[in-house]
Amino acid sequence: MPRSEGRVVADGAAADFDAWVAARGPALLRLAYVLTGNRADAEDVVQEALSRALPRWSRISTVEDPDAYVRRMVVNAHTSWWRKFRRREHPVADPVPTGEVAGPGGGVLTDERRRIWLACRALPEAQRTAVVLRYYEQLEYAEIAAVTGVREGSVRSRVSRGLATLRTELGERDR
Amino acid sequence: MTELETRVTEALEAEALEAPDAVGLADGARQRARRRSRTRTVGLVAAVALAVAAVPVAVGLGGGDDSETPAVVDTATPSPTDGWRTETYRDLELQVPSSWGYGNLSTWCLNGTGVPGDPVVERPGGVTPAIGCGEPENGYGAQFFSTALFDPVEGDLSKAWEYGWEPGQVKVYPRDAWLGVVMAGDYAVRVVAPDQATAQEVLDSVHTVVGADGNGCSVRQDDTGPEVAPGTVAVCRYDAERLLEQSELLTGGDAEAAAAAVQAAPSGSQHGGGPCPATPVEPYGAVLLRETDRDVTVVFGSSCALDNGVSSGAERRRLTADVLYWSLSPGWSGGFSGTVPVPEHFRR
Repeated sequence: MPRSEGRVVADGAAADFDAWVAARGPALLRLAYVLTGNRADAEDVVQEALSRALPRWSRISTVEDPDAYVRRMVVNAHTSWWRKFRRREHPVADPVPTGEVAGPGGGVLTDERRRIWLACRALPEAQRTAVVLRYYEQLEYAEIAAVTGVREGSVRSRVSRGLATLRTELGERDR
Repeated sequence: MTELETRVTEALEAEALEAPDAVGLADGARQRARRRSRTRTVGLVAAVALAVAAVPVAVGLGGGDDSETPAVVDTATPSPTDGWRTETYRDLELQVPSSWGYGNLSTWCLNGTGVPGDPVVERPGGVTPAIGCGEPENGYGAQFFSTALFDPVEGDLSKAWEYGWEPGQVKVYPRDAWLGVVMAGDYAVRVVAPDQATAQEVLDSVHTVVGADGNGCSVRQDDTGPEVAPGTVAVCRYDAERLLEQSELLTGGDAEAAAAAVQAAPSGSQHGGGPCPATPVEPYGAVLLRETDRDVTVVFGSSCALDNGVSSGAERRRLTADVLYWSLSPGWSGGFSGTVPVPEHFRR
């Protein structure tokens, strides 16, 4: 039997883990990218979550919804990364690009999706996580509460405030 | 969805396509897991080496001749120091300052002062007021929770750390809070305290109960409990799975009053209500009042009146408001069936 991190992982469980990662890995990376806003950090977060899921895979694979279980691990790994990053450094606020892109003939186009993306990246971490889980993952408030470990009322508040900030940043009223 | 919400969704979906590809993801996870395992193994070997080196020195200092029986390690739960009390949920036990109340960390604003006040002990289940307190999202206290979906982040969470809130961030805890989490099997405890010393003392007290807790209550309702000291009454509340939900130790006048309430309850079966089904419609819990010379079972949660009552061996008595008053430890929240005599007020 192959050995992994000091413990025996059955051939069947290892193959099952690989197959699951092949099928779900891309979606996890997309979620992590939207959460972190950075390709390298997205890879780091997903690798971290999967490395902790691996030794427990024989149990995780039997829960009712393994996808949701590992998704929660990815969100937690992101939160942990955010905390460690903040303790390690005190970055100077980066100038946020305007989301303007060069247009034909030398003019400037405003890429609205880019502006929304950048505004979302600038949200406080807890609000951004809630907004991403709500509008990208399309989770219900109760599901977001289960993923993040906060009460549903707090989730609703975070989403509401996040949207309000986006609305202000985009300089418009909601239609 | 509003138009803004739709645009946010579309923007996030479009940007998600820029994510890195998943080539080598599983292998990368294995490598990271192996690195973590090697780091832990090195640490464990070092700890064992230190322990082995320490033993001969300890024996030498112990004194006495070699024929002395080694001291038996005391596995009993130590009694809480003055000003502290024992709190238990399932098989997880800890000590908290006696001043800590009961409730939910997220409903701190019910104290009416506008700022988080005294810490509370929170358990799963029960009734949570539907109120949002704004920020901070939680007050102080100790919160028991299931680890079924909890994924611990890296690092030792049992060492209290200062909540690092910064302007612009959502305030999850009070700004000056000290936090910690201790996991033990299926349950964990999250501690949020106003100062580091208190947080660490509570965290250090968390341990898994073997058999019975410090209040004299077995983890499982069907297990025989330890002897209860004369003049005390252990109040052990069990849930529908017959697992310990809360425990309390009554002493002095409170213990006397609880015992007297049981003794004063009229003999006979509970009556009232309609015919009972052959099997319970809903599972219900029970409270065990443990005295020196007997265990008394109090049942009040069944919709069938005949199931409710006070029993000790073959002896049956009817529920009274006084018996329920002592059976419902502070922090209990739940409901009653129509035939149960409800106390005028509850212990807090």
